[in-house]
Amino acid sequence: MIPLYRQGDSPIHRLSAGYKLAVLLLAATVLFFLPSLWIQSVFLVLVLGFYRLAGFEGALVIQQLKPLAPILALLLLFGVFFNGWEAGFISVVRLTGLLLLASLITLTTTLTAMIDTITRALTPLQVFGVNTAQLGFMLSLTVRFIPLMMIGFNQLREARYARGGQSGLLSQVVPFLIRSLQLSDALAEAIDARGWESASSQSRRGSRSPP
Amino acid sequence: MNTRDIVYVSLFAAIVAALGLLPKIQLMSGVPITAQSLGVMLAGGVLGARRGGLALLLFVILVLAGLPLLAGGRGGLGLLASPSGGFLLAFPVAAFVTGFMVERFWHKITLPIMIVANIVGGIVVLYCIGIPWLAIAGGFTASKAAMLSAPFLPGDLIKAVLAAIAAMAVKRGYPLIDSARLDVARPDVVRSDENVADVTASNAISVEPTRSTRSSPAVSSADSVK
Repeated sequence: MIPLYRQGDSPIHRLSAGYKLAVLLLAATVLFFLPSLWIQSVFLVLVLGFYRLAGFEGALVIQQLKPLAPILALLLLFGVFFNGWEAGFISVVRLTGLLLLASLITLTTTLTAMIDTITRALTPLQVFGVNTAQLGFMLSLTVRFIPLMMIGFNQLREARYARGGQSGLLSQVVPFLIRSLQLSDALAEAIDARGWESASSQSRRGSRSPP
Repeated sequence: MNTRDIVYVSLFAAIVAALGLLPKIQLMSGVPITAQSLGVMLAGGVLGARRGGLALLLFVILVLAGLPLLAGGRGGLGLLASPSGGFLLAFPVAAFVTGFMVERFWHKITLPIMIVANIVGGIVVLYCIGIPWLAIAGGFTASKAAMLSAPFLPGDLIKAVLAAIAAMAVKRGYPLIDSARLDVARPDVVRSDENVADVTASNAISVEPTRSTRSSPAVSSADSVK
């Protein structure tokens, strides 16, 4: 599992993640209300200029667009077919520009900075009882557990093949889930044993202890 | 949320990510189906509404933050601008709705009810958010966008059934929703319905730390289902 971040020291790399996300949000909103092919094209060229500024090669731009090429082609086809030439090109050029800008932000921002910024952006959700400190802890737990889950799943699959079993999604998913949940219980005990307490769970903890 | 809930949520987010990396299955219609949305339904069916929704919220945040966890190795903010981004953002809502229905019927849940919960949460809610997004981001009319999404429906229906079977097996082997409701072992609470066995099983979670024997019936039942 490799994060999509590319190391560098350009002005774009150094800009804080919050600003970059704000620019993306602004660009997406403004471009949506300006359906002019000319403006959209200027924006696309501008974004390509940003890639240059960040010190990225043209090959990287192609690489970003490659997985989306079928969708973009389909979009162009349907757009031109249903809405006419200009509308079709406008939506594809706008989308390409926005996708490249968003990818650029992903390429120039570390995972940690991004998680911090997103957690901060979610602070208003505290009104609904979301504890953002807990959220940050859970995010880092998840990042750590993804490779572990993949190893666990492969172990089960290999064990099944070794016994001559066929590949069946269901017969692997259920033991995988139960094994993971057992692991969770052990982990929760280990975390509790080390004295980690979140701010909100502290008050309720007393009533939760077994009799 | 206690520590146990926090770990369940984090691990389920990781499970959804791991499911997305399984090889794709090609349907007869040529549309690839991935196991990822199976994880969305499972999160609701196994963890319930709040924890399931939160697990998928974690997953979505990590994908947007730049981890290539989405089926096909995609990730990053570009997904927000892409026409299919609505489906990603709908994941937490879908898991929440599935979990909400499962929690409601928890004590008398049967396989058909579980399948319906998966269809309502994992398909109806998902499409209701994903298709308008596709229409707006792609510049289509709503009906054209629905037409583009239609090929995925058979695969999603298959997944709803698979996820239901798996969730029922996990309910038998490792029920979690009930344990969240009861919080602590309470032998004095007598249940009037037929699922007294489930209640005692969930009590066992908080009482005995090692439960390797208890998971075996679920494992064997999954094998027979296949």
